Amino acid sequence: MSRAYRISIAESVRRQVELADGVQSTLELLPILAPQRMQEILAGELSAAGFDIQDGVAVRREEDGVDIQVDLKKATVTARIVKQESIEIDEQRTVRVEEEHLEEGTAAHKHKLKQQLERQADQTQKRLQQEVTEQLKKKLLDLQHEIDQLVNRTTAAALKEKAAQLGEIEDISEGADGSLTIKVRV
Amino acid sequence: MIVVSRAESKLLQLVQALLGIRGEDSLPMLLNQAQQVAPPFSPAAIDLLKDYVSKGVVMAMARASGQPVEYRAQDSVARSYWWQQLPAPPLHFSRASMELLLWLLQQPLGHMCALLDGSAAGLGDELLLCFTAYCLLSLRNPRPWRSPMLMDNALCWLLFADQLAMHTDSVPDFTQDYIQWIERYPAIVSALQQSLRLRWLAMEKAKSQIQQCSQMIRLGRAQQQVLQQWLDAVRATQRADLAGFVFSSTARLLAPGPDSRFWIESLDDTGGLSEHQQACDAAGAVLQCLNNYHTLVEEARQCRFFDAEYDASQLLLRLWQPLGDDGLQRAQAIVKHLGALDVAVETIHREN
Repeated sequence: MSRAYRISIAESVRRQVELADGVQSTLELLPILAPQRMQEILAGELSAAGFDIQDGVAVRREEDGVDIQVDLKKATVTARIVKQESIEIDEQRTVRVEEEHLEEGTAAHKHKLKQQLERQADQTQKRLQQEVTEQLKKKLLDLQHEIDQLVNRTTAAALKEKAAQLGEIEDISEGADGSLTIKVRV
Repeated sequence: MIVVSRAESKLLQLVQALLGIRGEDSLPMLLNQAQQVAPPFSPAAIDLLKDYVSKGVVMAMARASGQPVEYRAQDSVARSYWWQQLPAPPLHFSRASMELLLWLLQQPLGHMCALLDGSAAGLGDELLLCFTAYCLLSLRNPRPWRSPMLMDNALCWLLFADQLAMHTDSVPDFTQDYIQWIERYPAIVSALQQSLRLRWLAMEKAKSQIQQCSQMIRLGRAQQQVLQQWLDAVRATQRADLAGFVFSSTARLLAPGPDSRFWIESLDDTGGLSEHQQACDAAGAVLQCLNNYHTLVEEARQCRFFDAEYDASQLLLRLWQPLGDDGLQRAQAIVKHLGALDVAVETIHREN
């Protein structure tokens, strides 16, 4: 008759994961002035909104880790989030192993435990990825509004400049609905 | 009276049903149940088979081409049935056609099935393969589409990009094949315009049912590649009129005035935003391609009435008319919206 041993086994999973998500869209700028000038006006507006501009790219890092990048030449806006996380799962178990199969039995239990921990780590990684995506989604609500405002202000500034080129500006009135009326004496 | 065996009778029934000669109702039963059919066949059965296949393919082509339309025949433009204007090429059927028919019969295609190797060698084989592919659509089983005979066939990609795209990440380069098709078989490619219009319309309409982002991305990529290859071929052969199906299918699609949500109605938005956005871009792939096809129209508008290509240019402009510049603008607006941040923001609104 074989004897059964109670064996204590321990396994752990350690992962360093990079969680990332991002979206890109184009900025709809009307060609009111020459492209170079439109870029300059937009750069001014972005600068006022807290963006750092280097080599034609405006960048701002939000408190929640979302990076917003505006490429002035390509007229694209990119929102991207990247997070580094470490997943650490440890587990210890006591299992029963028959005396005749002590070695392979212990190894089989360790293998099974390792597989369970890997699955847990996969689920944790998936949950963290979803959290990162949710964080970005929430940011996009504000970002869309801000980008619309930036484009509107850039358009308005360009229109005023264009009007000044046409003649003497007599009156400028901005409506609550975002409309802009410019009276020009030519 | 010609007497054939039961197995030979199944083979003949299949050909008649596939090509719409008679007994289309029996097609699901023939394709979904494995039939005990194997060579050798009697000379009488072979003669009948040849007769059915050759006449059936021509009849099926005639039906598929629809109403008389304007065709470019040599240097002139004519409104007629394709076979009245263009010389019909001789059909050649090889062993591949017999292998295709036996493959259809010998296993239950609606379930698991072996894949069909080999390639269509002659024009007859190619057309029989295409009419067979139409029947596979009704089976709703993706597996048969993985067959090399279908996956390696240029004409099948042009007609069934939606089915074949699910099994590969990139479309082989068929530009030279399309050029050969247009040069060698102008009658056939003209006759296929109606079928192409209906298939590409169906592909676009079906996008509203696609749930998986990865499926939409594959489909969009494949559509873009196939349409670009076809555009390169019609340019190389100066047969811009053969781009007509792209204009007419999108005109029909945009006629009810769908907004961008139509294309991504069922798209899963629970995954990453990055993949979702790629899928949204892919959803607008065909509309995006219109920009490239529109260059043909711009060139046609430059053509003067005393130029040699004037008639052909006018034909293209008439084909463009149902879509028109307004349609192009609507398509561009939809593409723009599908690529905007708003799409992601709308996702959040829907969740809330």
